Amino acid sequence: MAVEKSMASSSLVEVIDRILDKGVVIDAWVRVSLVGIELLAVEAREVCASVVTFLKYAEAVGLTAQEAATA
Amino acid sequence: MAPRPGDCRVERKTETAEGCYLYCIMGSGEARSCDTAGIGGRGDVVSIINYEDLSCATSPSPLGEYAVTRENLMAHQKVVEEAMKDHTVLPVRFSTIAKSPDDIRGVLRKRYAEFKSLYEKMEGKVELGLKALWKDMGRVFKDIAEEDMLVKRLKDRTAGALPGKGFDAGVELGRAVKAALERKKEETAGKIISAFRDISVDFRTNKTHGDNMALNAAFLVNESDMVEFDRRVKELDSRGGGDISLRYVGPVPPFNFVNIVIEWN
Repeated sequence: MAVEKSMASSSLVEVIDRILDKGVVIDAWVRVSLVGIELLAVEAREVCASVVTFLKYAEAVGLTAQEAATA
Repeated sequence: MAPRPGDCRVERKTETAEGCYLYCIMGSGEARSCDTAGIGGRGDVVSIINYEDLSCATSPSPLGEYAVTRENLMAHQKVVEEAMKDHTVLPVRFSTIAKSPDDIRGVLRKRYAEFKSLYEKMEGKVELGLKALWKDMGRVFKDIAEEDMLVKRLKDRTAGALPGKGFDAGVELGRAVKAALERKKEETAGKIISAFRDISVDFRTNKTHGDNMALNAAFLVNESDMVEFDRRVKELDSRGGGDISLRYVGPVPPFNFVNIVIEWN
């Protein structure tokens, strides 16, 4: 299907990507409160460069979970 | 002095204190009222505060932070998008609340030159957002396994690892795969960006979300080049061979190209 052009407000991700930390920032001490949304899960997933994450990448190129677990 | 009716000058002491929520800074002159309701679900009316030839879209609001909810985010975004239909806008970050209209005028006065020059820079331009996502990650990882020398070597080694050594070797392999994926993203992103460079005034790349997102970029484009930009996005989409899907948004408020940090006092 051909690519569609849409307004940012049609997607929450597009909005979040912009309005939380960009634009004119007045009163630098006002922090954005991250309350109960999936954004936290996204952040956590990206920050988490743990062993499990690396093993997931190893599996992605064909290393089986069994080989990796042969510890 | 006691607050007059309709004046949102109040002390920032109680939770019920009223302030003015800021959406965006614009030029003035043709300023008109905004039909979109303000943030907070109280049905507050969005109005314009002027200072010289600058203005600011604002609505009455309690002083205090707004939770990052779909409803609040969309309310902010919708007002800015509405203003953008008629004006060049300098978008203000989510959950910015002034104590009073005078505080807003004060900021516009103090940083007038900065706002004015940024406003002039944004005039006649739009921000367009482009994300590129791989459709088939199995294939991307297969390419990495076949093309990346380090990954190849570590994979062979790991497969033949002695019992007890497999875990660490697996982690090392995973680390190499992750690095190779980052390089592949950069390479893919670079190719896409180069297709738009000559018709962009500026561009920014932002953090990608997830393994399959190769590019998360924003372009600042002259309004007159928007049709050509659209055409090239379509061309890229059809030329991509079905490997990549594009997400294209715009025109959006130029959040990626307006970055001023100011304190109230």
